[in-house]
Amino acid sequence: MVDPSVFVLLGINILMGWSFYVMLMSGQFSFGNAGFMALGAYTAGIATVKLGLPYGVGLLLAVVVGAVAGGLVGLPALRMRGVYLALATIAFAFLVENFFVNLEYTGAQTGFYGLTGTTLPGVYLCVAVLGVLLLRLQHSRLAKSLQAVREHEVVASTLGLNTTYLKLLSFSLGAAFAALAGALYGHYTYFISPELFGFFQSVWPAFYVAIGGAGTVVGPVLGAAIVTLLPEYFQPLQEWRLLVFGLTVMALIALRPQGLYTPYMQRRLGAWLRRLQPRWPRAAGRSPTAVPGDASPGAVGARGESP
Amino acid sequence: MDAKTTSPPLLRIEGLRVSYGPVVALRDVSLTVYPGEVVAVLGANGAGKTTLLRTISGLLRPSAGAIWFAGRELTRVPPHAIAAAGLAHVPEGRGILGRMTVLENLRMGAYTRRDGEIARDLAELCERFPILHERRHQPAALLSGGQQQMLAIARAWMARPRLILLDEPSLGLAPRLVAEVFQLIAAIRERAAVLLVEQNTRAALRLADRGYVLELGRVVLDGPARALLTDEGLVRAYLGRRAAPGGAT
Amino acid sequence: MIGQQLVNALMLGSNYALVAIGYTLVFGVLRLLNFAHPNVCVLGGFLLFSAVGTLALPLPAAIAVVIVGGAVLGLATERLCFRPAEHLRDELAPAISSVAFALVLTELVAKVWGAEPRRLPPLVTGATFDLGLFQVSSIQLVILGLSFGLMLGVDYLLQHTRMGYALRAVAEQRDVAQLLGVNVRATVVWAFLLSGVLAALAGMLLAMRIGLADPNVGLSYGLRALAVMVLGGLGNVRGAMVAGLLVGLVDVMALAFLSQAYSSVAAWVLLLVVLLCKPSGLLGTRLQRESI
Repeated sequence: MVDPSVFVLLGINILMGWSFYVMLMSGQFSFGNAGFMALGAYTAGIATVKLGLPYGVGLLLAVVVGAVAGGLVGLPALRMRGVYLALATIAFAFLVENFFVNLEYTGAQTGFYGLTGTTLPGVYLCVAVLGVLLLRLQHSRLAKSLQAVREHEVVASTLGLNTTYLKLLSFSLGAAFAALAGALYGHYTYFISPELFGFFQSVWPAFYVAIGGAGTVVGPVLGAAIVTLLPEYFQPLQEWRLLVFGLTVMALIALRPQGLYTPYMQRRLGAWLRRLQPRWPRAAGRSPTAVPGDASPGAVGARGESP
Repeated sequence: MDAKTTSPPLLRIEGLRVSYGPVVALRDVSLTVYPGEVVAVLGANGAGKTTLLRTISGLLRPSAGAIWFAGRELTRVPPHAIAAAGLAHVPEGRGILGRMTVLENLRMGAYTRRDGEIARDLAELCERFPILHERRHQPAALLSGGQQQMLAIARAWMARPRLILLDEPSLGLAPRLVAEVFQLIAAIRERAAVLLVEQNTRAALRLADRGYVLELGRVVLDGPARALLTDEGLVRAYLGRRAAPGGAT
Repeated sequence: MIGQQLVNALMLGSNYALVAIGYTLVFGVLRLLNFAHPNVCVLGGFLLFSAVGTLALPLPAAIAVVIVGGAVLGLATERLCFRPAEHLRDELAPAISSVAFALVLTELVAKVWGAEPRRLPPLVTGATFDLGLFQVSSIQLVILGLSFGLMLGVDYLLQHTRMGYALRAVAEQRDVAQLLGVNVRATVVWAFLLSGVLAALAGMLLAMRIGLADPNVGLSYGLRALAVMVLGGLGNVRGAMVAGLLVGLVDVMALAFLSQAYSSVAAWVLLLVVLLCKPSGLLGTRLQRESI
């Protein structure tokens, strides 16, 4: 059966998926999140192994360094959109990787070892806490502002939204997620080297979001689960499994280019769940009207988001 | 006008409805253009004029209604096929391909043509527009606004269309150039019908045979251009603002 | 010595340029990146290997095989990765689908030809020409001739043919191109076809240059070509040619005068500097300034 370590990786991948998702909320494509992941892993690793600080402090430092690095990279990136930003972030991740390849202090190309402390419950505690945070964010005014920036930056700025701040915030937050994922990852694998944070490590999070859907918090989780677990279940295919996996991903995207789990499905599911459980007396009394009543403000809200 | 209306219409639109998501931009719009006619479409900003033209040329899909052009239904035909059927659209903002040269823009106008007279038409246009000829090897983006508008119309002309849609050809031009553009449109009508969207209402109606007035996506008034021009209510409601600066003479 | 380096730089640079032209053609018409592009290069090298090695075909026939292979792969990329998400105007889905396709192609190459580089048989035998300052071997002449011939060919196609006009018009303003009678979907298909052929030929020329069909060149070449594309200005084919030669020069000179580690970083630093200071590309004019 599936090795339990896969579930640790799944948790870390969910965090990476969210890091991409959070940046995408303001319309910023980053194909360089492996760079932030590497910064997080090395920061936490240096803290715990080289400086002997506690594990928790290492994680915290990773998050701080990730957020700051995100801000620093995000600042010049403000001028770029779409492909330019994607390329700039690819270049950033490449330079980070090369920086650590040349850094003797952390063992250069060969890396260094001795990182421990990450456990399965620990990872999922992080996932749970951040998941709740993102779910709360999803319906907040902040999320609506970010969406306005994503869809119509010029309009958003004329509406009085501080687009600079919003874009930086989402980039920095996403970078912090990636750094935390890197710190957890490093302290699980015991050993880190620059090659762990190559180009594909940056691309996988985009996979999770593309497959699961970019419109909800759940989408990246679903995508991460599919991408992480599917190859495990393809084990019997032996050396053909990556090929089959690639074809499966292509098929999934071809059939549902908007992602498997969309905001529309989330609304429908929510409405359906509410109808299924008329737990509160008042809601039960109004149940025939409650469903359309619930649906229409949601729809109005969705329209209102894009001015 | 009477002689024209006896032949079958070149463009016939019936019950057209176009929506952008939940927002209805055009509702139940019907309109005809006969061969050789200049028809003006008037209305305030946001009345749906540009939407109408973009729907006719196939860039937007109507949710209801039908469009016939030269006896053929075009409602679900892609834009490139509509262009090939003899309909040229000079879009809002002129649609100049700025990185291509002036000459290449003119050649793009003849993209749908396979006949051997393209070179002759080019020579004719160069004679008519010496400035375009002079700057033919420059990127079109380097032309002035008025020159770009001339180029856009000349490019549409290169397609040898049966109908030209013009979206605000005088927008943003100096008064002298506006007059030039209207002279050009008057010249076009010798060979093609024109559906003209204009803010410069009086000038458009003076040139046009008939006019339609759009308001919030509906046709609220239509008739012969001369009648519209003297319609007191229309003048006050739609032409008033523009009448003062532009229409005194 | 400098002359020799110049020959190397020209070969490497024209190679980058050809890969970058393929990227930029597709980007021009769709505003999307095709991440499977470098894998078509890798396949081009292996198709050459099989054609001249296993099948013992003469070089012209082998080139034909490579061209057909590239065309098929280009068309497949469009149909499988980009067409399904066409209606969404979404950037993520097609990009990721093309990454998945890249994975499929990588695995396919590993299955068919193995994970190790394969040595090509000698392709062109002949004298080495001594031009005073530097020497050029016959194979180098063939490579340079093919590379520059291809670039000139692409330039001619874009500047003087009906398809070239359509490609440029769609790249500049999709709606206007349609109004002028250009079938955008057909033009996109042509762009992918052309891009696939160029990628396969570039991979073939790369294999000829190093004497190996190497499965591992995809990523480094692909990323380098992306940098070249930006330096040349997105969607600007002539820019890609000049930028390719420039990056080739930077690479070769960095390798000659700096250490290996710096040579791989040099192009990326150049890319970042250009992105930050002049996002329209080194050769971008004010005509090409647009936010993408």
